[in-house]
Amino acid sequence: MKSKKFLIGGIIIGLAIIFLAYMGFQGGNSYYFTVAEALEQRDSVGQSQVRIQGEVAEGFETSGAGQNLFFSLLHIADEAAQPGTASIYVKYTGVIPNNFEAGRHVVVEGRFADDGSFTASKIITACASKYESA
Amino acid sequence: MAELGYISLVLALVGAIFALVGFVYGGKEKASWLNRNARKSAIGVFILVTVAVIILEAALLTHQFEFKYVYQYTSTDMSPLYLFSGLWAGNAGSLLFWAWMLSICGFILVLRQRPGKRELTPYTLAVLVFVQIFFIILVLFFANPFARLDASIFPVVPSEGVGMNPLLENPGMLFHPPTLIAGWAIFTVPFGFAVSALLNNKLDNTWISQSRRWAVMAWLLLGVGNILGAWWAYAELSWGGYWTWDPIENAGLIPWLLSTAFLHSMVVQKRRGGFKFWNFSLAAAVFIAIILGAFLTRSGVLQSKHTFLPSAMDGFFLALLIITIITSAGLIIWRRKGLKTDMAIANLVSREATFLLSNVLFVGAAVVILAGTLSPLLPGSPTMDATFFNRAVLPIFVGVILLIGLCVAIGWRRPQARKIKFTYIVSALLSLVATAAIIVAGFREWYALIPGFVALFAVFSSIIVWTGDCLSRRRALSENFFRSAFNLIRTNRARYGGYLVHISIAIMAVGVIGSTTYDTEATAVLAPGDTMTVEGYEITYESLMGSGDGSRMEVWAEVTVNKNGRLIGTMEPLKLFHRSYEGAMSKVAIRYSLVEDLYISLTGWEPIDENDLNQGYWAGFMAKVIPLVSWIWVGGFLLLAGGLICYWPKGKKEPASSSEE
Repeated sequence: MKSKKFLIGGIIIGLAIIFLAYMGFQGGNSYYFTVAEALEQRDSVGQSQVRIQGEVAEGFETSGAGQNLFFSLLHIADEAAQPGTASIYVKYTGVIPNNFEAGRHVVVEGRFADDGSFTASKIITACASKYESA
Repeated sequence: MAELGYISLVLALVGAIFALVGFVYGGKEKASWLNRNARKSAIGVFILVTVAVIILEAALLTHQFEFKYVYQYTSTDMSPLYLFSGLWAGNAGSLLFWAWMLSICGFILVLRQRPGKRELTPYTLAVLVFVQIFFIILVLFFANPFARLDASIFPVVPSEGVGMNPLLENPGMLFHPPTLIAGWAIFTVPFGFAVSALLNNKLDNTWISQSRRWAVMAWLLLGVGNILGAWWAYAELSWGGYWTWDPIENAGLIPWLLSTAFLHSMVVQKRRGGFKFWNFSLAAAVFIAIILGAFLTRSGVLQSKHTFLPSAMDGFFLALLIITIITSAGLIIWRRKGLKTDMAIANLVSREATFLLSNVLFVGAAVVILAGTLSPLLPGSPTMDATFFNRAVLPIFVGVILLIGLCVAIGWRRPQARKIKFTYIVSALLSLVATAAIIVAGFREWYALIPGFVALFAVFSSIIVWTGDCLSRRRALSENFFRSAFNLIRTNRARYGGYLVHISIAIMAVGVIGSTTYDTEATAVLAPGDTMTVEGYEITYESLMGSGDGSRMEVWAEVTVNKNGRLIGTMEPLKLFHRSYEGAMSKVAIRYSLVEDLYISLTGWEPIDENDLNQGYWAGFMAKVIPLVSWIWVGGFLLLAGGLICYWPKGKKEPASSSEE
């Protein structure tokens, strides 16, 4: 019964792939908050690591030869909330990503600090091939 | 001129619709009036779309800023090469390029249609022309590169354009987008052959033979296109990585994985007659994945660092996607009886069994990546980050590489146990010695050592089998060794080109393992003359320089680099400001080497004394040492070479030994 052997082998491989996907899911899923959601759930989030998506406000500042970055992250306009009404003050140390500019949508990854600001460990910007710019 | 480009596309659309009718209804009667004229109009479509492309290129190269597209993506200070690449810098142009590639495929197919011999060609051309119509409509009505600037905003034609995003001004821009788009377009042909074979109820190997080289070329372009994209990200995006599992990267990877599976299962059908159902399904799956990728990329459905802005095309793409899925599924179900095959896999250890296993792994990886990419579409579902893909997909790839090492020694049907045993034992010993040396050198991470061992095993076993084949040929024909090596490749291009591709994949795996496991990063703010150290490199900041005009300005730091007290060179990481783009762009300085790359990025600067700028500036640096990353690019070249060997037409001599594989 060769075909049975193959069936069993196939099932084992299939299960292994599902198991791998499950293991990945355990560590690799993450919810993006909008700025408004993050502020609403500020208390339940506590010190845990979150990702927030928003828009970089005008007038960001840098210090330390460009290694520290401070900016306000605005809520992106949608039907549920007015633009600009919610914002989070973000502090970041590290390489400022290319394409970082006011008005761009970014995802910040990090934790809330006690003073209500957000300490980002990573900033993800839209890439260069966001062609319809300008 | 703009009108002329538009008009030639309108005429191309008319011609394509006529060709579609002709190929569908004239299909059965060879050399019928309809078929003849459909072929003529397919050639006409090729000429008309080519005219449109030439007009757009001419406008780009001569700064016709009354074209909105030219205004948006180019400027007078760009070099001709990048002006030329403006064709695929934007959505409208890249869709036109896609349509053009399709029309080239149509042209070649028409020329190669021999009366009486190519009964599958008419319906294949019908599918191709149908997809062509779709893209021409997109270009004409949704993303028109010939649109003029809005006269109410620009009463006079501006003398300068917005210009290309400086990040795109990289050799990657010249090759990565057109390579991928060409690969996507070319795969329409194998898909067309599959549909045609199903419609004609000609379910034997004919469609496989006729679409093989098209599929190889599409697969090769997709593979090279993805590697070029990775290299571009590495050289240009200044964070020292090359792959982020971003939705668009996945959209490029999934069709490549599926087409890899398709190439392998085609071989099984040709050699052993099996996998018919599977081959039709895979041909459809690759094409569907390509359209899905284009849809996801060009619509705002998924947040991606690459996404185009949402546009009215979404529904149109979705419609093509649904039509394709329903048609291919319907056709395969309709012909299901004829797709049953009687191939029995004689042995668990046989080449056909390894091909089957490779298919399971490739399709499994593609499905997992697809699920992870699409997961945010389900309401309330989380987005998968790189951790998910690394954990779920990389082990599958390790499995693939292990299979590469194992399969090469295994023959068709009932393989020789002695050859297998010899190859495995020698390669395992060699890889063990190499791995032991790596451990002695101080690398102890099991998650790097295991895949490293597997990749070495794959390289060694491929080389051993290849050498063995050369030696036996040399004995049989008493040629010298190099001559036999060359003749082996010449007479069985698919097999030995395939081995070269296998080796290239294992080499790339080594690069991925080294660069992701052992990279080191350091940041520092330095005054002129200060030195930072990373992994034995002493990086001394000499001075900050700048130059430029109103349109673009560059600021760079001169650094000298010493390793173990010996000067190895100067590097100039820089930041660039462009009048059309807010914020600075980093252009990293990279010192490439086979052992490790030194990657320096200038993060910023600040005057030491605000009142006396002569004292110079503080400058911030990020320096990274990334081991073995060059192996990925070297592997990419080998992949290209191996793929071209597979693609090259069969030699005319020695037909007896040139069985295709």
